[in-house]
Amino acid sequence: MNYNLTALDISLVDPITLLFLFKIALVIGLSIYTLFSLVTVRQTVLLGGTLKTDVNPFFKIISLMNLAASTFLLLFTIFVL
Amino acid sequence: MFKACFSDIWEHPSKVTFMGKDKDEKLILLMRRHIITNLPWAITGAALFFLPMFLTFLINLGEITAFDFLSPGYISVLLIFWYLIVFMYFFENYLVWFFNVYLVTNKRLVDVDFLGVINVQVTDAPIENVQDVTYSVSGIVETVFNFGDVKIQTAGERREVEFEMVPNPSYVQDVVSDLASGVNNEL
Repeated sequence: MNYNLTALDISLVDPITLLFLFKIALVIGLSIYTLFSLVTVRQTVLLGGTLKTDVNPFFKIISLMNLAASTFLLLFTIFVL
Repeated sequence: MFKACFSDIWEHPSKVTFMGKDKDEKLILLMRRHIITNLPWAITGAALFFLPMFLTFLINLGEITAFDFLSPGYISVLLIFWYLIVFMYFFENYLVWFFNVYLVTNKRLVDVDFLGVINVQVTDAPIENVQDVTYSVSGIVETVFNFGDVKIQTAGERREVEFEMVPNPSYVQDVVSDLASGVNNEL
């Protein structure tokens, strides 16, 4: 019987390793998204200063809620999942 | 509220002001690109929204087992993440449309260009510098929905101010011409 398996073979066979790689990819993706959400919050503040309308506070609230949701999802993926 | 969120042309807008507005300055017109110009990204966004349902249907139809290693928890997180991305796509495109405005006041023309995510460019031209105002409507969609470009030649350093894809360009041209001739006659 030949037991000479490479690391790639093991990762392809073992579902737990595959799940771990999937989790890493998810964390990286969510981190980038969270960073982008942070930029959006700053952007809504800056643009709200350029053109002031009565709907600007809603944009800020929406972008903050989006940031909160992405942060929560990132932390959930890292610590709970 | 609806008007403030979705109007592409707004005469004497209430509760709207902009950075650098003088106390005696009156906002006469606020314009954005015609609302129909948002259709391409709205269709793309709708397609992205329905993509997971379509993929689920395909996976069930083909009895594909490649994703069986994913637990329901992972699938839920993946779906929520996907819909956050779709939401961000809609929100960013809407912000670009909402804050890309052309303003006509009794003193000047202001063009706020919001390019992509982090680039903002604001240019203005005094109304007394306006020399020539022309508009163009070209293409089937523009003709059907009555929108086009208004080009304003000025005497200042910045030679031309362009309002792109604004609704009712003939009316905009008329307003700017009337304002310019009124101001120039007063001088």
